[in-house]
Amino acid sequence: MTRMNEIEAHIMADVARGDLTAFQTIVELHHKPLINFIARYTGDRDSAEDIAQEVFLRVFRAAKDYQPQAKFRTWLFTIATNLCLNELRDNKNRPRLVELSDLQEQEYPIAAPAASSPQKAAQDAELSAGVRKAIQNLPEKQRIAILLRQYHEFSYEEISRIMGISTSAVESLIQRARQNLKKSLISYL
Amino acid sequence: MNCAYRNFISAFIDNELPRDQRASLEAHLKTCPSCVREVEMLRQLGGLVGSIPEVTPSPAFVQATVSKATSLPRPAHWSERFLDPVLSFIRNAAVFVFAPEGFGANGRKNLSSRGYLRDFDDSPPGSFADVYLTVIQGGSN
Repeated sequence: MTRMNEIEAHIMADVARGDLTAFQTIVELHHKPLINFIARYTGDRDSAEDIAQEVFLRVFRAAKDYQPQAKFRTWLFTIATNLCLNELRDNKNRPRLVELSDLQEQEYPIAAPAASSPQKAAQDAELSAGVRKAIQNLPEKQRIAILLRQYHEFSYEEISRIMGISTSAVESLIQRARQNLKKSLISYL
Repeated sequence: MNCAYRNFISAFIDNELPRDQRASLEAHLKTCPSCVREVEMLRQLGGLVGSIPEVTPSPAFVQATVSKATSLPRPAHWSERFLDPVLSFIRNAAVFVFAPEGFGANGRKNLSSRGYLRDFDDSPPGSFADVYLTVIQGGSN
């Protein structure tokens, strides 16, 4: 077990005893990547925070079931993935296709690097919107797989555990996702 | 061009190919411009996809989440979930065996001698408490 795993195992043991300070530590460490994963998956920042909060509450309730042999991050994203897939299934809420005009600065308050000019800023915004739309248009499982790989650098083995599929299935999903993204974004390449 | 090696390129750029397949593809890339272009394109795609800025969470998110957790039932330790019911049973059984006078057939008046059941002395006839006490005495109303 790596040092980080050991530390998180100790923290989770405290969470299992109802220690809210330990729970706050877990939330502080992981909330930003988790919210970003869910926001990129759903295309909706507001529901992403609601879903992320539910993920953490489930972590709190299930802390006693956490097995320290697995990385905490893998377990966390497994819960998030299941919630994301169920959120869309239960609400029959198909992913919102993000149109360029939908994306306002206040919807996605971001820490973007300062653009060198208004024209560059507009180009960057258009590119970001195009990428988000392309991701939103991917089938659910391809979207999950490519997000886990591209943004969170999970290995194929870890993704297979998160999604409950074989590593060859993960490889196939990511390959197809990339081909679909390439078609959508060919004008930017 | 439909080169058979194209199917390995995605896993190649993720460094997920087994060693022998990786070596084979690297050798192939020295002779196949089409696959070289595909590698470059997928790497560019990765850069493009990775370049979109992150979402900044609401400043209140952490505290709001911890506050919600506060209202959840505290996760019970295994000893509380397992031992408490067992100990409760043993306590009640011990009272039944060693101090049966409170549970005799003389009626509920005996219950006054047991402090823990005194609260039920004035339970109205037919109420749940009245039925409960009757049952544990082994009698009927």
